[in-house]
Amino acid sequence: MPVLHKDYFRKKSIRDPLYGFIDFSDLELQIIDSDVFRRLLLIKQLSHAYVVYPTAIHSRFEHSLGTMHMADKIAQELELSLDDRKYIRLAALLHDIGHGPFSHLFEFSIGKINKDHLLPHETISQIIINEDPELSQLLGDERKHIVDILKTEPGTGNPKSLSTSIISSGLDADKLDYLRRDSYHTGVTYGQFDLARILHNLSITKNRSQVLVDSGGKDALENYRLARYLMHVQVYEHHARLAADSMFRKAIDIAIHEEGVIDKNLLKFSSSRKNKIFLDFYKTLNDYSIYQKIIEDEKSDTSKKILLNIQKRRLLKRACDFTPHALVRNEDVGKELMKMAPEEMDAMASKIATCLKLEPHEIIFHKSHTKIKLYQRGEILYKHKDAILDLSSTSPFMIKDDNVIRYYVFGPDDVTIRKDIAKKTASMLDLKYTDISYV
Amino acid sequence: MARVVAAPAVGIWALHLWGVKRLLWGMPPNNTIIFIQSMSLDYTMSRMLDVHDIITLTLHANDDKLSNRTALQKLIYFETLKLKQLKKITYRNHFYGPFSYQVASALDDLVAFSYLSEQVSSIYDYESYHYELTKSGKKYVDEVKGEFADNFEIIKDIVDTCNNHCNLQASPLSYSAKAHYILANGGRDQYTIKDVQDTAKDFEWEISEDDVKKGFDLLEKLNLARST
Repeated sequence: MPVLHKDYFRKKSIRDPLYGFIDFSDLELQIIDSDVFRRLLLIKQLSHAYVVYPTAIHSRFEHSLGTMHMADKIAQELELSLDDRKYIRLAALLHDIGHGPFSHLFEFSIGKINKDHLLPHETISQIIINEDPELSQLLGDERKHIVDILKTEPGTGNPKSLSTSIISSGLDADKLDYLRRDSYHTGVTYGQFDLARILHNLSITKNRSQVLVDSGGKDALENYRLARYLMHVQVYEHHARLAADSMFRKAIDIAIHEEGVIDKNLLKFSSSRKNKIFLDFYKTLNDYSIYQKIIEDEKSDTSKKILLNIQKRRLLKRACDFTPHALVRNEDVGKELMKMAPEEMDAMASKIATCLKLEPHEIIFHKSHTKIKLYQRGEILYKHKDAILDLSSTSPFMIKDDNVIRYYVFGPDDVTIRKDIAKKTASMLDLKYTDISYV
Repeated sequence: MARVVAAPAVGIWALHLWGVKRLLWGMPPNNTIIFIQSMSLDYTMSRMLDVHDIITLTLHANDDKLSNRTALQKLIYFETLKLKQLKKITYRNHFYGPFSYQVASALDDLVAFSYLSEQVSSIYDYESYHYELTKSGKKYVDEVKGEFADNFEIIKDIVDTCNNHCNLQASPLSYSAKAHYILANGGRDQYTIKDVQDTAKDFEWEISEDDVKKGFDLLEKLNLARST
């Protein structure tokens, strides 16, 4: 392998609103010019958050460039070799390559077709890196190394490498970029934190496998995880965004599983054989083409209606919301609801819709879980002298676990109908209407 | 050095009492240890035992209560290796040993739905979580126990064994779980105590020789590992 020169990564620079400039190597430039990577320009980072924050239309493309830049900053602070930096940068650049239209929303439907894969987008990333002809040609034998860095699926049993930890862990380049980037693009300031302090105090565990900060940066870590919490509450879990996302998820589900607008067979993939048919189709999908594909298809009916409603911002609105505490009067109902899979919640919504002579897609049940992983024990570590400590165990701050689970029931704009939905939900779940009604 | 052979399942135990004794009485670091394969199976039958059920049954097996989330995580880690009709639960390596987000999330569910009461107490700077089955929780567990009587016996046996071993304290359970995770995922057929200690470092786990021995002591009692 040829020895890399320090200017290897400075073939060209691209403007970025957060970092001023991001430098690229020749290989990286060719990757970002590939068709499969340019697809990320058409996949929004925050899916339907734009219905609440109109400027939240930034893409997975710019976040991928930013993550690469941030991963390299970490690697440089940790004084990693040029070779290590090269692989870390490539893996960071490609970490979101497997995302489909509206990211995790499409993943939900594709997951139903590929049930053996816990994290479909991760498997799809591997398939794309390994099998896309353009990337294959550019990356050659280096593909395996990059795929290994990007593997995070639980149950694999392998210890994480430092490179993996830089891209995906409690303190990683992904979050260091997206919190500030999402904050910048939404206009909210909750995602800001003292990045300079974190980078300045970066360190690694004794065995050089995990990123942490030394105790001087402990407060910056608190700042960072509070930013994650506030962004979650204010942006990622905003009820209007949840409504739009839930509507989209339902439309895709209907289009694939009921109307046959999208052929299920085209969405089947395997990690043990070639996936040319899947890949050729998947690469055509993005936030815009999926809308077009469904809206223009003769077979689409309900799915088309839903998508047109989202486009016109005729969103379903909260009819009621409640926490499980409201359910204690009926244990059997509580047990059923607690274990309910999303498909079963859809069925319950359909049942209420039928009772109220509404169309099934006009009511959506959604379970929101606002627990922030970064506040769980062992997620973020720091170093005090020679000891490695868990931030959650020594922090003066903790998030109260009350009300981390909340159910939303969305319905049409009409207030009378939403009141009826709330009443029906209350009677079905043995709840008090006045405790749960939103309208 | 004693030799290790892969042991497919329970039943071989009796053939290796000599090795077991040596481990119990202080096995030298170069002795080898065998990982006994998991018995956990996914049957395609009517209802499967899920993570909510396992948590409530585990508390029930300990007089309807349990302290410390880490201890609960590790107990369930052991249980998933032996239970039948079980929905898949995945574990990943974590600062405190094998950890499952499914278990953590189900614990939140059970507290939110008032099947468990949760109390947080602070000892110095360290928060400890205490869980107890509520009245609804007891009703819930009675139904599950009726449905999965055999599985409850397995859980009860594991909880009792761990209780006798270390009063369900988190650290000793954690050493055992870490040791088992290494045997199951470390990529080798056989290990010495020293090997386990060294491999632990790959997972950023610092375990002393004594801790590894104690960890194996429990694994042997649980019939999840044996030495030769």
